[in-house]
Amino acid sequence: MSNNEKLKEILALILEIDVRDINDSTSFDVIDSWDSMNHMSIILSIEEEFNIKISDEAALDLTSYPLLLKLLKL
Amino acid sequence: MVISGDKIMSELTFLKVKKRLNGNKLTNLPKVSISILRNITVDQVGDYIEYYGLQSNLDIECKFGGFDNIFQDIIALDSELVNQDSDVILVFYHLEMIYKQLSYLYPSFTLSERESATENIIKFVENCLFEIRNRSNAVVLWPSLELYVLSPLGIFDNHYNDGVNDFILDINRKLSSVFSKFLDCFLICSQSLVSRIGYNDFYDQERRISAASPYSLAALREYALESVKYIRALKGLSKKVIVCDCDNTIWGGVVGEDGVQNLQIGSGALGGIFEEFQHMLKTLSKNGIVLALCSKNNEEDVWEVFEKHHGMVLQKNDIAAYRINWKNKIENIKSIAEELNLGLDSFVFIDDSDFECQLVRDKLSNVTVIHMTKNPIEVINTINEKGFFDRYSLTNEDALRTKMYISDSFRRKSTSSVVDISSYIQSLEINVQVSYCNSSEISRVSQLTQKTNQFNLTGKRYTEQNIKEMYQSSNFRIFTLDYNDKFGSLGLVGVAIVEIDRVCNLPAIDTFLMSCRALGRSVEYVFLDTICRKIYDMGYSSIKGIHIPTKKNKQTEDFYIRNGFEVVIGNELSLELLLPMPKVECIEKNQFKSVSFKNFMEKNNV
Repeated sequence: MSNNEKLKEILALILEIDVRDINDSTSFDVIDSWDSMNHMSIILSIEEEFNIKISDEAALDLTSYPLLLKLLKL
Repeated sequence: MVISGDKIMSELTFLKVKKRLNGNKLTNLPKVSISILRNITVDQVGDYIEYYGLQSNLDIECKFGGFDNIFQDIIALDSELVNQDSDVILVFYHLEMIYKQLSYLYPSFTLSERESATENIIKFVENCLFEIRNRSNAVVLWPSLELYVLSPLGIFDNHYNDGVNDFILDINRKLSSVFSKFLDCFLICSQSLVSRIGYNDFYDQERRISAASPYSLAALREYALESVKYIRALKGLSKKVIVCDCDNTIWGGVVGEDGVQNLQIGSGALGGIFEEFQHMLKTLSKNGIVLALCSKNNEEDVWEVFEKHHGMVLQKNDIAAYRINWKNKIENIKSIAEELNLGLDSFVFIDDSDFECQLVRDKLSNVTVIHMTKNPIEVINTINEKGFFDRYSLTNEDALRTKMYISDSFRRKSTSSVVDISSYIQSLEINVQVSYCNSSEISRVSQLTQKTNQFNLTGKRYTEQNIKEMYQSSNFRIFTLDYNDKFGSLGLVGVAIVEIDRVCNLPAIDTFLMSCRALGRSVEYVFLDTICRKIYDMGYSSIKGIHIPTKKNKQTEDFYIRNGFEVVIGNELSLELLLPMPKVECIEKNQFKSVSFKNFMEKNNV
């Protein structure tokens, strides 16, 4: 599974949306289920899956699929 | 269910948990409702609990209480979290949230400050348990306070006998005696959970400070696993029977080949481990777990070992049932179940033979099979870790004794107990101070507009530069609210920005927000009241409120209306309301110890 697919899977499972619906406009402001709690789950899960540490300062701004992609340099 | 001796937990990622939960949801499983009350952020624990529930064939639903609203959630009228339908109530009452930076402050505490800190915590917990028991029969699980693994006093913490860890241990001991007075209320030993995975993996120090989220995913997984052990016991899913093979299972070697005296039990490295394993089995049997043997052997050989080997811990009368013969084990286990009149789903089967293990797995899928590896220590650990045989009380008498104790001692205490929100808020001794934002607070104010989603009337986000410009402009007033109570200070938790329209001579509340740390205590009402009064004092006869619905601020939709504002104009995108002044006195204020408006720097150009 590519990293991009992995990221999409994380978003889809946590936000309970369809993987195929994830695109450049998928963000905190647009997706109802993307609340601050799920945001934290996303960040923690990315840390776990990609074995990285995201500072809380940075996590605050990583509120969309494109920004997360950029973080993972995909 | 198939268990091997090796650790599988570390491979259980949050994503795997989510995948399992989103996968085929079985609806015919027994349902369990858990309410999680907390003063910290622990939301991911719910996913792990539901996951471990499914592993145990339980359909668990987790509901979360408000942040730092433990007592309010218990005593709320028609509480959704604490009622007759709740099966389990799990409470996270984290010390660092009660007394922030306790480890640093503690050394300067006076003796009486220490005592009152202890008293405050004990009283709070006792009141919570009492009020829960008045409303629900749910099992209560409450992790104890954790020690500081690294004390800021270093080795010196041990040098004077009232170091911070002694202080915590003392509270835990007192809590433990409080818990013993309440039926089905259990203090979970947090320190054991920390030890299982280690301090470094247990805590998320950065998020403890930034998000009030002190635990790592791994720690939440441990809390979930531990909680589900209690839930399994509650639902009668604990195992009741342990069926063991003999050769290379309860002793080392094969009796038919090696001879009785050459078996390894008691002496030697391996013998010591089998001795420990037998001690474990004996303890289980003493505590009501039925011990059975199922072995392909000559029966007299086996009993000869029991009689003649001096290393044997188990005695023949520890064995409730046995099938020592050359028949296949499926038939033997089935007939043990019939003899004991117990279901196979309450059976654990332990055997060193891959063949027998696989056979039982295939043919008797309800039986939990543990493969005895070369190292029995792994099996001992597995049994302890999984908690197959966990029960609440060892005997019925234990339970009964506890019950009698409760009815006796707690009725008479009910008069001193806190019963409604209002008196609870009073007991917190809240001090609220509203003031104009000063220059050192600009950054915090901006941060709150960026971060606050739930209690934020307009959801407007402002950068530091934006706030600075408003601060310097005569058209804006930025109010801040500082909160403290008998447990300490929460700091700056409320922001209101009022824009004064010079043309209409009308002030409008552009931003009104409260950090969720301070919700559930009526602070928001007092804050609104205080700023309205201040605006009135400036000579304005009405004030405009604005509500802009966002995806996250539903709880604020009727805030202005409940405070006497009337709708002027609006649609689903935005609502404008007007409050004629003077505003009706806000009664919530009377519950606070003090509400003050402090004018650090009244602007000249009002």
